[in-house]
Amino acid sequence: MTEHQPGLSLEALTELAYRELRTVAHRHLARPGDDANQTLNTTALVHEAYLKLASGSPGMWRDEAHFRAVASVAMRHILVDRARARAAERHGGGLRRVTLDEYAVAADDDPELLLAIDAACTRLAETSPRLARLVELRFFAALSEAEVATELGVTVRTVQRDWVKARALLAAALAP
Amino acid sequence: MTDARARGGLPSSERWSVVEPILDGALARDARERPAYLDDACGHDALLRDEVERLVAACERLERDGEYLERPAVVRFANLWDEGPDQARFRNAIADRYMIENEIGAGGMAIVYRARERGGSAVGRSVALKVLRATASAGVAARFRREIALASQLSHEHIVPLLDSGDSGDRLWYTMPVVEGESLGARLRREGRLPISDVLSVLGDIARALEYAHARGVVHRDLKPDNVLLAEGRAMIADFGVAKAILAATSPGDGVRTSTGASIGTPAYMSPEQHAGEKSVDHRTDLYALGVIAYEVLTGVLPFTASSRQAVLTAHLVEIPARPSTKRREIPAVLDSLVMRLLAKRADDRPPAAADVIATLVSVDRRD
Repeated sequence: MTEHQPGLSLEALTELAYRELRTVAHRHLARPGDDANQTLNTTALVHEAYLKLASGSPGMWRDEAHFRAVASVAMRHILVDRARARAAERHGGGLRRVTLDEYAVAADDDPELLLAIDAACTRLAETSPRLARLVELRFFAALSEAEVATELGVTVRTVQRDWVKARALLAAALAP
Repeated sequence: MTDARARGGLPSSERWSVVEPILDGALARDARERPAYLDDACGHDALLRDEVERLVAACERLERDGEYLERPAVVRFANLWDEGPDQARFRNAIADRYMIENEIGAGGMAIVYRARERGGSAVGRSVALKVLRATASAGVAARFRREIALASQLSHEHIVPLLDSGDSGDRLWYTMPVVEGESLGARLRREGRLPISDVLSVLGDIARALEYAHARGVVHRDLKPDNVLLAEGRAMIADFGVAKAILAATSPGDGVRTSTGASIGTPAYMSPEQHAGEKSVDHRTDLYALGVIAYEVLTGVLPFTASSRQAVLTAHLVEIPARPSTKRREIPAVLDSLVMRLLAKRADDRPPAAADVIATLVSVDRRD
């Protein structure tokens, strides 16, 4: 990630990716009356955002893989921002510990759980930046094992083994 | 260990550079070869060995129950995107009957709000208002209401009553009282398994609720620890009859998908006949789910875990689980065999009714 356009920091690129992804995601997800198909195809979404940004300012992105690497961070920010907003709305401000309780319908998608996973992933980066990056790509950016392998330049087998280790560490970090 | 605790369960990077290669080595070896390998790799460092062994166990659990964090955030937390004008529209549509105060839960099937009843008498009651994610056409709403009307006739001390239901702004909804307490699911996540005496009382409460509802022709179909609320020293079942209503409201033969792609029923607690997609499941599907819950509260683990939905399904259809007593020795024999009978693959091989389960539980209680 060294060959950015002069003058554009990685942060600025992430911000661009963030804005474009958010727009594309909104369009994909907010189609009225279509919520039977609301599962998000992230690969398609990221591809669409890339095409738009790449055609708007040629040369800013090395290639789609470069965009995708930046986009994975942006995806994480988008989700965490929304989870934070939702949690704040729910509690009128202050955050609260995850209890996964209160009429849980299928509480494994409580937004506060996402915030907890995000925080654990940040701590995981101190233990092993490699495993944290894997979580970002696999969990937050929804890349497949094969896509992650290409992105990180390792074999699929390595991705699988690291994925188990990363999740074992996250499970420990998230344990009450 | 103290180091790991202080850092929220995560080793420092220096520590990890020591632990990771040993962990890799252990994972690459067969379980039988590991002790010798760890003797060699850890030497006399008991703390290191303990740390590696715990990680190996965690990795193995993940390989068996691979669902953990497997669904990407955008899919799993799809509810984060479900907001905006739609919700405002619902608020308006229901404004003459309820004032929505705040969201208290959100899941694949529904969003739950705390709301206050309006109109008529002086101060409105506070209720839990569940709004289904699925949108509804007129015909669907009628079917939903017919089914939910049946469920709302249930009145039992171990069933959370349905108060009201309807459709507003394209959304189906129903209300129930606000119960202060935690779910059995939350307690299990906190404590692992329960003391035998608590197991008997929780299972007894659930079985009594089932006996009552089944006698009135209502089957739960989605019984699981998250649907069992613990309050004031007793267990109450929530969402009785709701699954059938949702089923009736979603187009038949469609695999019954909700907006986020979850099918109705929770794979870990679904009976073999539900997994097989049989259209007409009867009350014995709830008895099977009760068996799974019994297994879990006794042992702290599910009878069937696997790395994919497909594998879970297969296990429910063909695999015989280890008896609970192999995981916890003090389980009374009568209870042990009751759980195994509840988990029978063929509905005909299970106890015929919840009353039989209650009788067995009472007999265990007396023997103690």
